[in-house]
Amino acid sequence: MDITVMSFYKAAIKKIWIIIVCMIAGLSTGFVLSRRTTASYTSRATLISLDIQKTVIFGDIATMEDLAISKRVITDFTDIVSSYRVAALASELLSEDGYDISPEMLRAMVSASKLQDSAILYLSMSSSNPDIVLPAANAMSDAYVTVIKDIMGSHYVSVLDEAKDVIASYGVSTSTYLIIGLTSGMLFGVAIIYFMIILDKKIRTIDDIARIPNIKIFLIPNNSIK
Amino acid sequence: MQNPSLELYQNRNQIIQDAYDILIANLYLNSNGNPPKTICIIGCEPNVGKTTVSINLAIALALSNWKVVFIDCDTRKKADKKRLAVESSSGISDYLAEEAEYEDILTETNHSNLTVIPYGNKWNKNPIGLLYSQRFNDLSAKLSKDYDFIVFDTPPWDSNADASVIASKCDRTFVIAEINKTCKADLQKTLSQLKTINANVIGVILNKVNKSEYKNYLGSYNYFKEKKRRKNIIKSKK
Repeated sequence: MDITVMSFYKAAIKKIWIIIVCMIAGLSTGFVLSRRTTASYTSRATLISLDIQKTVIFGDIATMEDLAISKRVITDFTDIVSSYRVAALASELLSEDGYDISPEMLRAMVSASKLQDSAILYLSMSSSNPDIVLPAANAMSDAYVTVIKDIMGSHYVSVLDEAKDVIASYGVSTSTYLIIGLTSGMLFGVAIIYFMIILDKKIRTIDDIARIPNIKIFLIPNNSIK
Repeated sequence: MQNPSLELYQNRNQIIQDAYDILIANLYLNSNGNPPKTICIIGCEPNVGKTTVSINLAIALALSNWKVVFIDCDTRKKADKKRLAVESSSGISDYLAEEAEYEDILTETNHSNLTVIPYGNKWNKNPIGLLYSQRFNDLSAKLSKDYDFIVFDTPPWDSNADASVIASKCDRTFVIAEINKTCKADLQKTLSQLKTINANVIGVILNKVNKSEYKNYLGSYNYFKEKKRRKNIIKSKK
């Protein structure tokens, strides 16, 4: 016999405890997963592209042409941030401060993004270890500035703001885990009830036989009824 | 020699009595003033309460002042396993085997309008032959003259063909299924097979229904209870 929405609803109400148990299980699983998720720590330094030699050292005013070149430098040389040369130099700088971080690891940690239509570059270092991201961000910034100077022959990129703090972030928040767990548990409970109905061959309710055409149904209650 | 009297249990539960009254009312519905004489009670499988329902229906009909005869036609159940085990009494099997006469097989009960015909002592290997015999038809004819209703209790549908023979000879048939026990497929199979033999099926009796299901079915289940409660409240205020 087919299952209608109404008959399924009635059966689900009768077996609501299955849904509740599954929801509690889903909630517990979500909570456990949220506790097990490790945080990611990020530290960010801000770099600016401007010919400091001209503006600061010689006191000249930056022209529109200088600004255009600065933007072009940022656009063209952003990817150098994750180059091996920059990472190797940063690794050397870090080892002087007592940090043993390989260039490969630094390259895996680094990411760069530029502010649109500007000469500003953000250099971020991310890791699950909160102790290394801040010195690594500053070391990578210094190394990048040095490498650009070597390439361009001038101080075209300089550090505007050093990395000063570490921000912790979680991929999925605890409340999201709990909501996903609760919803999954509910859906799992509904699926269990659905399959229980599909596999159950016995007459459990009047609705199970109500759809037989041209047949009246009479009920005889059991003797304990009062 | 007439059989001794038989004490039958009468259900005192008003809700159950009402349920049987609904069955009786439906016997009359769509009968166009010509109510059925012979009623067959068929169970989809053994132990669904077929005999209990049959006896209670017969008692309910008798209490409504109709002359009723209940016939135990469960040809396959051994005498010692029967609910209506009337010791050393002749029954339908003896009559059909021509070893007893009509008057000998009638057993009076504690209900004035209810007579019982037990299965009897004759264990026959070919009950189908007896059910198709002219003597069975003669018995039905005689009972139809003497009684308002004849209620047949039959063997389980899935055990043999006896029930189908009796159903085909009866005016109305009830099919009994037990909630939480009978399979949906078995019930559908029974109904479709009854259709093929042109049995006049009134409906399905769902037996041993729990209170919540029964309340859902009968919207005004609490009608009398509410009335009683209101009376008590009024009394207490006075």
